[in-house]
Amino acid sequence: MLKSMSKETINTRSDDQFCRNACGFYGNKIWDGFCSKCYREVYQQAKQIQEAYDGKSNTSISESNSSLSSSTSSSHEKRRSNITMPNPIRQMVHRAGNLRSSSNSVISALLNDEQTIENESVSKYLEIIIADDARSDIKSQVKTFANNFHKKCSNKNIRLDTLIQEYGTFTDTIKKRIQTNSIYREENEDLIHRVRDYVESIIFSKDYVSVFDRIAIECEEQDLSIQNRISSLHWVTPTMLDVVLNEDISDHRETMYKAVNALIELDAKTTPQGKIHSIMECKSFIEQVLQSTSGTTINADCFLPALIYVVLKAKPPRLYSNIQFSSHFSQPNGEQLYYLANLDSAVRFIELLQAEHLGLSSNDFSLYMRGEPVLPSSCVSLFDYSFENNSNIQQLRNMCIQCDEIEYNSQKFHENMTDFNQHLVQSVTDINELFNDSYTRFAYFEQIPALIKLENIDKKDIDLLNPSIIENKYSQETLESKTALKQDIEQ
Amino acid sequence: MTSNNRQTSNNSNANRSPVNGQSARTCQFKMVLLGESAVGKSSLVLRFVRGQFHEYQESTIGAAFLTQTVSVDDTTVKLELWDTAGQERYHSLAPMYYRGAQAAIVVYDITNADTFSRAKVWVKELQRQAAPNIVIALAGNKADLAAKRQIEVVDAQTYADENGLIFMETSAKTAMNVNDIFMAIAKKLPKNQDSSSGRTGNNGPSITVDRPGNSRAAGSDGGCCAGTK
Repeated sequence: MLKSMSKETINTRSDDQFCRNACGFYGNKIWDGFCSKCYREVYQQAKQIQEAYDGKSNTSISESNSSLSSSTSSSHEKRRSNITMPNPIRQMVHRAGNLRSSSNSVISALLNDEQTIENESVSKYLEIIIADDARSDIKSQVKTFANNFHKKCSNKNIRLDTLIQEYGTFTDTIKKRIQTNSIYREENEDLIHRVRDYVESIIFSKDYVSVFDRIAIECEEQDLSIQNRISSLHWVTPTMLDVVLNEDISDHRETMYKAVNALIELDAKTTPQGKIHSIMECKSFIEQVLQSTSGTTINADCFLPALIYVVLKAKPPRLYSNIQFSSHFSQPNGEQLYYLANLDSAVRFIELLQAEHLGLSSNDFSLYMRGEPVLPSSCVSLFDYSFENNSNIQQLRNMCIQCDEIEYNSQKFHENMTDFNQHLVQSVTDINELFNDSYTRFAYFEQIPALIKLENIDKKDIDLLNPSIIENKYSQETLESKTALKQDIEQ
Repeated sequence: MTSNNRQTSNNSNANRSPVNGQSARTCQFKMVLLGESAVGKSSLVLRFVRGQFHEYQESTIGAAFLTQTVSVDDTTVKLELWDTAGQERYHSLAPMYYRGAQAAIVVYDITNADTFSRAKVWVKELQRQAAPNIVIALAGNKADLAAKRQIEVVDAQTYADENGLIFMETSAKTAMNVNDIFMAIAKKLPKNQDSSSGRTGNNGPSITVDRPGNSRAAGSDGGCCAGTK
């Protein structure tokens, strides 16, 4: 639109004389129809990509390049100075051209990234392949799928299930291909793992975010609820879970921190294998701690509680989504699958955690959950040692509960008293009004109120019901006297 | 060669390439260990794994997950042994472990009658909840402590016969019957792919795809068969 306008208003020359980038300057055949500036932008980037790709810079090319650029830029300047009348439309067109060229550079930068990632991955994972045709076969297979998958990921309408299925099918076919195709006959048995890592690094360097976001959106509620659940269980101690762990020993504490960190890092890893690796790392640290604490073999009886404790301490972000992602997209071996199942179980245990699971009474559990300091969790072991007799602890707890009850009841009582007071005042005023009314109507009965001395009772009454007095005296007597007074008045 | 390929690819966790498996085909099975905490599950497995094939011992400290390879006839059977936490509080999590398992070994302590009744509960639960063709074995451990016996062999044998279980009294301490019970399970496992892959309708990763989703669904619906939670 702008371009055509500029053609009509500014220039009568045919379109192909303009720079292909629509920057508003004239193009030239020797620069592939670009103006000198755009030519430099486009082709130098291409050259840089090529150079990065080749991994070496050709000095002669860059020299000739710089001489070319210097000459073109000077001519560019000249042409620029030739424009005498600044035309707003031309400026707009110029700006649009700039935008386009910058978006070009973004795309080429992306291409550049992709290339480097592919190259790095190839050298990292596919080096061991002996036969060249096997390597190029894998490369082309993965590339085709990656492009396909990327398109699907960018399409918001394609659901997660489809992506999972596509990915699963692809990994299966490539596995089968390696097992059956004759070009892989010579290869090492480790190849399947290498290829798995290669596939993951290619696919998830591009599409991790869009895939993970789909999962995270689906699991947002569970993620939040497990996080809140973990937050509300911050008071759980190793002893409650039967974990043989002494956090007072600094070595153990540090290893425990490492395990916690490994679990937190789970969210930051962007490939399924990376996530599995985090879980396995966490597992090794836990084993290390347990080994040095108990010295016996580590079986599920001691591993699972420790893992639960670590999950509680780590409060890993988006834990549920991460487990989902790992189980949908990773191809774990038996051992990794076992520990993934353990992590899943730990999460489930935390979700379903009840008082008896921690050896607490349901009363204590709810007190802990409300954040009330029944017995500070850090002092539990202290109390266990100093009070050999359990009844002392029991007494203390009972007293705490009683104290709570008294406080609660007194508050209730206070509220009731205030209510009562208001009611009373209201009634007294009402009656007074009634009396006053009566006085005015039956003036000759005036001497009767004086006999009852209602005014006096009234004043005394109000004083007694002053809140400050009530606060100091919760005694039954006061209440009784008030009730009596009330009865008096009502009579 | 071809059959080998199919074998490994259909068993989810096949991590060895077929190219080196020239001689015999390899089957891989998941076996879960159930039982109260002090009945000696881990010692039983450790005796089995370390007593026979030292070179296959994969983990030096961890005994929660172990593998052991045995050969049955012309087939190499790789057993993946999944230990479960025996404490009462973790019972409700067991379905997450035995889901997809082709074999289970339920261990009790012959000197403790409670562990036997708990083992019966496990068996019932497995029959109802686990894969329909799961091979279940009942192991009466601590047979070396026969003097303190609370469960008679006959009773356990009758129970096992009624429920179609493999049964043996074992002793991790003296190694009595330890290899035998695992071998009996390995023999009973279906080696041809069609029947053994009851859990695997599809190939490889779909198992892991199914697992957490199902487990959650099952957990929230039925509260699992532990029934308490």
